[in-house]
Amino acid sequence: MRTRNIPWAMLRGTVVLLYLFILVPIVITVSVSFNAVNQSKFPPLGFSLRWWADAMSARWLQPLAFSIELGLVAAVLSMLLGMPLAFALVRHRFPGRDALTTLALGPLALPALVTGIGLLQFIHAAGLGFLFGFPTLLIGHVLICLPFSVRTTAISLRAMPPNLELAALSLGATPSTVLREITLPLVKSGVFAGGVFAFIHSFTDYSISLFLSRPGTQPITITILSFLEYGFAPTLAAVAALTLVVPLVLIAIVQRVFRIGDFLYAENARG
Amino acid sequence: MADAAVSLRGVRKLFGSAAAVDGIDLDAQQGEFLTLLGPSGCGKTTTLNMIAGFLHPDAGSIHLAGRKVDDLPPFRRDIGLVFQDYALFPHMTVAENVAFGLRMRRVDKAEIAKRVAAALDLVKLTGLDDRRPLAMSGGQRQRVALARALVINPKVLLLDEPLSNLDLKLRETMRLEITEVQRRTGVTTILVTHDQGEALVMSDRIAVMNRGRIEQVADARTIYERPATRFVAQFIGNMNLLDVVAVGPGGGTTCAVRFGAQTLTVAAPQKLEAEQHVLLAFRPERSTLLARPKDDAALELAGTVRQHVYLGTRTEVHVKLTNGASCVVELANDRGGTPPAIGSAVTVRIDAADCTAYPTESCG
Repeated sequence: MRTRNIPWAMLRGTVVLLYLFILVPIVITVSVSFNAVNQSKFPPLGFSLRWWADAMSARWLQPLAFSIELGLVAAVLSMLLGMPLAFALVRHRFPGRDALTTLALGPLALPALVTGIGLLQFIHAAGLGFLFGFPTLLIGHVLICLPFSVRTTAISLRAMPPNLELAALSLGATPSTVLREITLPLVKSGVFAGGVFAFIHSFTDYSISLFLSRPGTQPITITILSFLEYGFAPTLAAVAALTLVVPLVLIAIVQRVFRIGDFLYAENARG
Repeated sequence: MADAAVSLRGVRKLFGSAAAVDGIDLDAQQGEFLTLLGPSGCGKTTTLNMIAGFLHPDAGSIHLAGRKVDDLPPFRRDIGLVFQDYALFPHMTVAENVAFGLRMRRVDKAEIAKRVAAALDLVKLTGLDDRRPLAMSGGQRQRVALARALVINPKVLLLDEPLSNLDLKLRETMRLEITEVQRRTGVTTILVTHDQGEALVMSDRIAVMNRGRIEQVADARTIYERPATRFVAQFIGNMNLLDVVAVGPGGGTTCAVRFGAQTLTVAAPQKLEAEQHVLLAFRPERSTLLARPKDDAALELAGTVRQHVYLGTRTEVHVKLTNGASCVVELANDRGGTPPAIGSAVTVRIDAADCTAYPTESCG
């Protein structure tokens, strides 16, 4: 019995290590934000909430709100664009399909920095410089978020038994009714999972935003980055903890409403 | 004559340059249970998909209840369809699944509830309305699929290999249950299957398909006892085939054939040329074993016992004939009788009435 348990123990050990690796930095960051001194000490020296008060000022909350807004709009747009794109790529064979696949999934493979520089050049060349700020950021973020929603929607579509739609047709449902009553409800969890990934990707992005934002319309990542030039203060730890809460809350809400777990554990979603 | 419930005339379907369905004519009468039986790739599912409206024939036309449906999309054809993988909507309850077709027809709520309950009753799933399909066994899911297809009172019920995903025992029960439900509702039914047992048990008539064509349409008994072509003879049940020579030109009804020194007149549904090699087919269970020849009107083949295959109710005796061919004789395992020992010399005897001759090249 002992020998047979060795692989199991190793697996458990690995999982514990993995969680430590993920969680320990978070614990350190959060505790640093409670320092009583203006130093990033761990364990913290004393206890104070002054850095949290700092973090709650408009200086930080405004870019945070901006990032949330940008992430939400980018996620919704990439869901709306990604869905028809995934349908076309999964359901149809047409000339240029491979090219479209590459275009839709490309930004995932390309370093975001390259995409950012490319977009910057393009916007200047196209004379769209007046768009700098939210519009350009949105274009860039939709571009890098699109692969996520295309992927997850495509996976949901592929996992759906093809006969479901034929069965609905045979029962008298018109193609648009089939789409509304059968197809969309069944790919919904994939679409929203893609939306969550897209939001998180947009919310944590800085390499695209670096090129496309301008002062006054800065996402939180860029604000943190510029602050870092003056060194690390416990304020930053508090801000970082704040930015951690946003995606967590979002995942909790979406999971509650749209059951993206069904997507992640696709077996349950099958017929 | 009243219009057939389903009528196919010269229906053809090409995939690329190959004909998946190569010009078939087929009628199913009102209330009939008709089976399309054949090996995979014979065109039976393609035919079903054309009746359902998922595929459009390249030639020919299809009528449902006297109405030409070639230009009707699937959702206007009033068909009930049961798939091999059930195709139940996983995001709906059993009752919602069954109600779907009625809802599409804008039947009012009270009427839907009544008809859904009746349909679930029919397939013995009373009280399971609120279950999710995923929480059900394969047999239960197939019943839900059947109820969902029947509740709309379809012009024709199409069953696409409906039992292939079930295990053996359940399959045998479901065969009889589906047949009973069909008899009770009187719905014209077309079953597609590769399982000859299913076809023999369930159908009023069987259409045996091969390479996109229909080889024979007849009731189960005729298909089994008087196969019209060599393909049908070999596809349904076990069949011994013996190389013999046609004595004179014949066929259509009967033909005289010669095997060694014996000549006998046998059934020959297809045309045979004089002095050509033809195949004589006979069933293992219609053959008997004798210790020595009797020399009368029956065909008698000398040989040696090679092998016994015990099958519970029957034993197969494999016999090597003196001319080098081999054949199988099936003996009932009734009390007392034991098959002749392996290695013993025997005579295989078949009545001329149990033999059929086919052209050698007719497997297409």
